[in-house]
Amino acid sequence: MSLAAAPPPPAARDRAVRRRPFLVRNARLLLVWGLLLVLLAVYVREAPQFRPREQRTIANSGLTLAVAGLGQTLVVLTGGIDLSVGPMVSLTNSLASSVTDQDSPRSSMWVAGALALLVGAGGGLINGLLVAYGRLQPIIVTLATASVWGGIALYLRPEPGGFIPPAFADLLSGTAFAQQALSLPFGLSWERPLPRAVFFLAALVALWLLFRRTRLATRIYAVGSSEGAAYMSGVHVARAKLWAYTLAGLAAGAAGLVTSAQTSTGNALSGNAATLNSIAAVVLGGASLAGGAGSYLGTLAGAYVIAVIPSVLFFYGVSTFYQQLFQGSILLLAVGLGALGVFRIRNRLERL
Amino acid sequence: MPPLLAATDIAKRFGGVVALDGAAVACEAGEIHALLGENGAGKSTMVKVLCGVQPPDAGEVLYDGRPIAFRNPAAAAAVGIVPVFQELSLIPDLSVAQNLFMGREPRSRIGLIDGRRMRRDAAALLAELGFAGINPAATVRDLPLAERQLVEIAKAVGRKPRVLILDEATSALTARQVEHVFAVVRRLRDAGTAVVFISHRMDEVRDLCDRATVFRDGTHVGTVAVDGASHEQIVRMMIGRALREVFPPRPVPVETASEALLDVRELGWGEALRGVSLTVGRGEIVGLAGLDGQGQGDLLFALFGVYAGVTGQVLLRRRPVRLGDPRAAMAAGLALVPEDRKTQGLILPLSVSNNVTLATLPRIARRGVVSPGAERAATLTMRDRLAIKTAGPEQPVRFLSGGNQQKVSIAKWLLAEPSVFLLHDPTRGIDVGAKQEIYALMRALTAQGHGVLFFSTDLSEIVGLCDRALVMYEGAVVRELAGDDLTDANLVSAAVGVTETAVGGGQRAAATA
Repeated sequence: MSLAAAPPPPAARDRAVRRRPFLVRNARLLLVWGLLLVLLAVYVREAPQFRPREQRTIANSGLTLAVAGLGQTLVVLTGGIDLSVGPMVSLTNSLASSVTDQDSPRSSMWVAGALALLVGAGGGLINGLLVAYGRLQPIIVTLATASVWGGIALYLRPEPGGFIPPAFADLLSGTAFAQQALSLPFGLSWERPLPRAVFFLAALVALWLLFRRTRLATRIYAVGSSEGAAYMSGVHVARAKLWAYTLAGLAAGAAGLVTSAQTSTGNALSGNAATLNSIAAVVLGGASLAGGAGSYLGTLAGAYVIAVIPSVLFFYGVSTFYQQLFQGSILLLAVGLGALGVFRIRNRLERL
Repeated sequence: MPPLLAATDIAKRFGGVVALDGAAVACEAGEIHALLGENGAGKSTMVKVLCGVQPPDAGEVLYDGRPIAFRNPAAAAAVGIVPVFQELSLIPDLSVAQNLFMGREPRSRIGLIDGRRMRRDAAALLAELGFAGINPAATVRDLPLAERQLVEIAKAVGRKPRVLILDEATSALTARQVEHVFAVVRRLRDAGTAVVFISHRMDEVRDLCDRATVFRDGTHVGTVAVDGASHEQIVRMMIGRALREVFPPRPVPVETASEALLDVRELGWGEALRGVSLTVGRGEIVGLAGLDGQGQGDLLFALFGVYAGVTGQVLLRRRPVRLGDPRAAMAAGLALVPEDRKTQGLILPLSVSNNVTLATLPRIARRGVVSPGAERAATLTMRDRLAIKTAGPEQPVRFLSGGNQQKVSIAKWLLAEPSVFLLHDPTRGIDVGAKQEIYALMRALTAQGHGVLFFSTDLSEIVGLCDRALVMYEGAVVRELAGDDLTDANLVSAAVGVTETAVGGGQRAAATA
């Protein structure tokens, strides 16, 4: 009688646990890319013209932050934070501008470049050792080393100046195919000039996609998501953190070289804004400051959102005095939009 | 045959607390060996010593006849000793596949992780173990607790352990899932794996284990063949005294119908709750039963205001309760002792006294300043009333054993003097002695006129303790059982939907129509 109305036997009830749909999983990522595309569209529409020169300006504007943001992303993924990114950019910029030599620009730039990357990685290694093995709070460690790096930068370069070889500046911040077209196989060729920064951005994305598939990446996510569970799973927690901070230092060193090329000079304060801007880029990109969740693809868009805002405001005639106000408001808005999902959560414990 | 893994004369202390002293256990290959003891007896500490989480202060661990000392869990896993803990070791933000292969991901020739192969291997592993309902690409955070525990077990089994240690690894599973896991464990044993098994469910131990080693107060009490030892004998070894009646006697039924403390009408919440109506009378323990995840937990959360968007009406002492706000629920006289005491019931780093008084701060504070005297007095009263074993009111809760933590979680709400307690599996993962104390406490509460709405995954608790039981299925109450009808058999048949009477089926049809 009632068996017909009875629920199905348990075996049939074993509902498969589904993966959340693509749009839901990547909502934050899509949001920040959408925001960036809107800003770029506004820029192209409002700018008097959009020649290779403007293209280059835009592409260059966010490159330092995009490079430094890669490191900040790694550190934030472990659940940490790196406040020494900006001063490290300044330090390596100051260093590069000081060891170059007008007489042998090419060879001295090689030395300067290698030194900058080495110093960056070394500084990151110190951060990492103090955080991972010294068991100190990342915010305190990097606040302290930020002052140290800044101090060394000022020692190296009390006044702005120094020499950056023009060839190097052009290599990192110039325009490719401006003079001659690139001939491709099958009789094709590329004639439009392209900002060189675009190649570096493509390389950064490729690097991230490869890195994402390494064991180190999985461990960095694991440590940030649940340090205890990672340890119990045999993850070498300290080593994963050490790598994250060291790579962050390396990225800051590379960002210092980008700054050197773009400004063609050395300045002990050149990179300082990169600290908070890189954190803002990571957060805009949808990473969780608690660690374990996020992607560099988001940070990349976040970096360019932060870089493009001043130009867009400029076209609307907004005084530079108010730029920070707008920048901060857009950051709040974007982060707020990303958190909108919280209001749909009906189990309030999940929002915690 | 010499044991595959043997620990002798192990000592371990944490600060002033002796966790192990003269503890020993030996497990042979091809044997399922139970480790029994009350909470705080040192079982978990022993497991941590065996698998390299904590080094012993004294004593020797022999593996394959050779002394070993592991620096970390990875070193133990490398030689084939793999634990599964009650506190899960899964990474919430990673996928099931990433978790299953953590540290041994399949790699392509150039050293990058081969994600496709990893997911395929994960699916094969899950299917082989009979957990095929779990998607390897799903993020662990999105899985219900029971599925996570299955993934945890699959993760350990996938490592092809020589020694598999299951520490309360089945506590969140339904009976059917437990059977599944047991089949896997038996298969491993028959293939020569040594299995160390810890569970508070004695019937599981009886069902699965070959021998049992009993700990009490950190010391080895004895090792017996499970078949040759009676239930009473084992329990006596564990608690050092004879076990009397497990459940407190049920009082003569009072005239419950006349006074409903809690009156729930047509409660709904999305797909999870479909028009649930029930009452809890003064002095009554009402049980929620059914298969795992049929809305019982959601019902408790919805009543306590944790969920937003709940429809229906809740009356407490005939007054409507504003839904969707825990503070309103508290003010009306509801208290929820949640399932997950470590994250929802307690604030682990805070002291016993901070935790006990957290829900009643206004009462022990004057103009916003907490009175230390009142706080201490309240804590000591609760400590004595519930026999909480603690070094003192200032001890952080995280150092207490599971049973004592649960008592603190309950004490917090006792102090608030609610009229109805909502208890979500309050005895999960705690020892027999503490369980009995909680049973007695529940009866004492009802004797004082409180009402209790009680969800348990342990059927014997529903049968032994409740005055009435409501069986839930897919978010609706499908059957009510009371008196002589309240039996294991009736609960099980109602839970899986095989109803014997037209009344049960009719109710279900009405509830889902």
